[in-house]
Amino acid sequence: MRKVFTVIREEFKMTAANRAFIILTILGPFLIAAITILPGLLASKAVNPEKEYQIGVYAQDANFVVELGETLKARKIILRYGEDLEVLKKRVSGGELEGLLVIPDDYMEEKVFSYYTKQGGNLFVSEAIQGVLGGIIVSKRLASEGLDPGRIAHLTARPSLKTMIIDQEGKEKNQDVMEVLLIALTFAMMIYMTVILYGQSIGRSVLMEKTSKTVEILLSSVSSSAIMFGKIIGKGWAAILQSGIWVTMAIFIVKIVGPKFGLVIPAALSVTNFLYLFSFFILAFFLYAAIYAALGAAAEDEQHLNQLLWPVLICLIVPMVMISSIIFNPESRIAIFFSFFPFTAPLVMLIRVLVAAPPYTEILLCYGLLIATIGIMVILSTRIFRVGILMTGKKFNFKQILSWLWQ
Amino acid sequence: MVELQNVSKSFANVQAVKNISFTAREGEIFGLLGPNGAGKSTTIRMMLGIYLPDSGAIYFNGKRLVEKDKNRIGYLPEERGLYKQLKVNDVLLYLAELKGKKRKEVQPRIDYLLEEMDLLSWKERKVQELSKGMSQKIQFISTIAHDPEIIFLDEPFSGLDPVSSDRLLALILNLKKEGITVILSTHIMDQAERLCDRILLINHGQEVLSGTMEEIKAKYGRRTIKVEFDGNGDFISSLSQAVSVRRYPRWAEIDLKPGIEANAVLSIIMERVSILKYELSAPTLHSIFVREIGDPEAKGGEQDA
Repeated sequence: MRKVFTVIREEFKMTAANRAFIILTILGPFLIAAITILPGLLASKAVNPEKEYQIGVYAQDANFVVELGETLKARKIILRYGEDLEVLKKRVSGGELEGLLVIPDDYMEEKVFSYYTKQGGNLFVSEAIQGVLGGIIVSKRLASEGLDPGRIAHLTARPSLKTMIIDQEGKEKNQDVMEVLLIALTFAMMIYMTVILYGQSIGRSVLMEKTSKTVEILLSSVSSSAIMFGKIIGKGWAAILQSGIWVTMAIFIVKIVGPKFGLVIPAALSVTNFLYLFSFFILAFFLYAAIYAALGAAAEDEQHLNQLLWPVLICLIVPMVMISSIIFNPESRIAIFFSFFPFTAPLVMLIRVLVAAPPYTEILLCYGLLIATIGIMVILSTRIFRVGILMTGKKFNFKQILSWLWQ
Repeated sequence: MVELQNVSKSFANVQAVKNISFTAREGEIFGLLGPNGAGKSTTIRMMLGIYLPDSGAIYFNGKRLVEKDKNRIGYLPEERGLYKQLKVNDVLLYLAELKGKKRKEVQPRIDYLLEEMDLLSWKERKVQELSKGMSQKIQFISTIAHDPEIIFLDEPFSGLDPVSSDRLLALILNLKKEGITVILSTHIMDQAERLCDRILLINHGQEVLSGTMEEIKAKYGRRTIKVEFDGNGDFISSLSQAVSVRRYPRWAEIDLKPGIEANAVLSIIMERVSILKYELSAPTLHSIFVREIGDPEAKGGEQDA
């Protein structure tokens, strides 16, 4: 047992005490944020741009231009009035103006207005102009018909839903849907990234020891299962350390740094959610780490390893491809099926638990299935590892690799 | 002391080792010889406890080999591989710890061995910075750092320059003096002949011959002419009186067929070239190997498992 701890310690040191680990620890949250939080933040930022946009306008009704300009100014869109349409167009193509809005003479009746840009232009600027322009014209049309625009807006406003959570003790709590969606997406992404990165690392590390024959020296001291478990647990500790740093950083940013700078990041960070994240993370890691280790031992070279890993990657990619449909319809048959299929269960059940709170019996059944599958996979992987680690000189296919289970 | 009794091992349909028996005694250098695919690696892996034999038994100091005996064994594989990104001292400590040693306990011996090999100044450098020869030496140190009772050396001299080779040779002889059993697997027969007290020659997983060097040589008798000459000696290779011939530009070793007189062969040679020196002796281990095994590739040597 002492030797297994030695292998664990050394594997942890080799993984965590190097530059790549430090760089990934720093960059990881940015990568996850780039995929999950950033698009939303960029969208909200772009509606109120820091920069001022100069937009040319060609119109006959100067009063209307003044009214439009006043409203757009609040959104940092400055209108530049011009009398010569061709000159204005040249200023756009020359890059001097961001765009050119042409207001037709009968703008109260016209349904389509022309907006010129150099190369498609800024989508958020054009949307802001369209929104403001539409609002003013609709108000004017209502006023010309003798209707009160404020009253009409009130009458046509649709009610929205405010989501509340009732816990087991009957306590009520406000719950923003966005918070839940964001946390489900981030947690799933974190497990997906970590399992793929560390799984690949385990597979490559086993392969490297096999091809460099280091494994022969190790096997003269410890058993093949001690090497496999030592490697999986050692790298597993490094993965937990890295994820722990990420989670701490996330809590720090969301709870302390964000509010100080007036940045509200919607995230449902609760102890229960972190417990679910931790448990599914551990289960996903051990399930896939055992498979990666066995395939690393069975592979002849890196290219062969990548070929063998295809089915594994598909199992990991499927939930990520389906993530939006699972988030928006967590009780669909397909979501329920994948939340019990062991190779997709850690990701899909985690999303379901965070978004839909399925019955505890379903969650427990999922845990049971996963633990049983991990047990079976560990036994099978240990057998493949034991034989494969000393097999060199040939690229074995899955049929041959599976035959090692009976050796 | 390690003893194998009727040990066999098969993989799928291939019988890698068939009924091998031998004893390597305390303080002796035992040569495990054979061509590629003969079953040497499988035999060594069984002695290391990596493979379990299908039948037969392996004894370590009179008792069945068990997992904890691994701590008393050192192994230098033919193909060297160490963790390139680790520091030399860290690798040596790690491998010694896997042999059950504590870091503090083994550090002085590691320092001593590094000094012996002129590598003490490289202790804190990464393995990837070392030359091939240096890596070989570090790997040898890792084989003996934990003070084993028996060591397996698979081609220990490959890749070493003459000075390092001599130093390693001195270290091996020193280990023998300390009572450590050395099991040497090598393709270089001259080296095996000089170093080994006893040998076992195997082919296709079976014993071909075994015994002390004296016993083996006595079996073949003084039927080999070693001759140094001046002139074109191409014809010597095709002498019909020879079983086998090893020929170099100015030197030849001729194993005579039964019933052929050495004088008759020397007369034939003398007619064509000037003989500078000759000697009638027992065949070298190399000649015995070639005679017994022949060309292993021509016979279709099996792959080492």
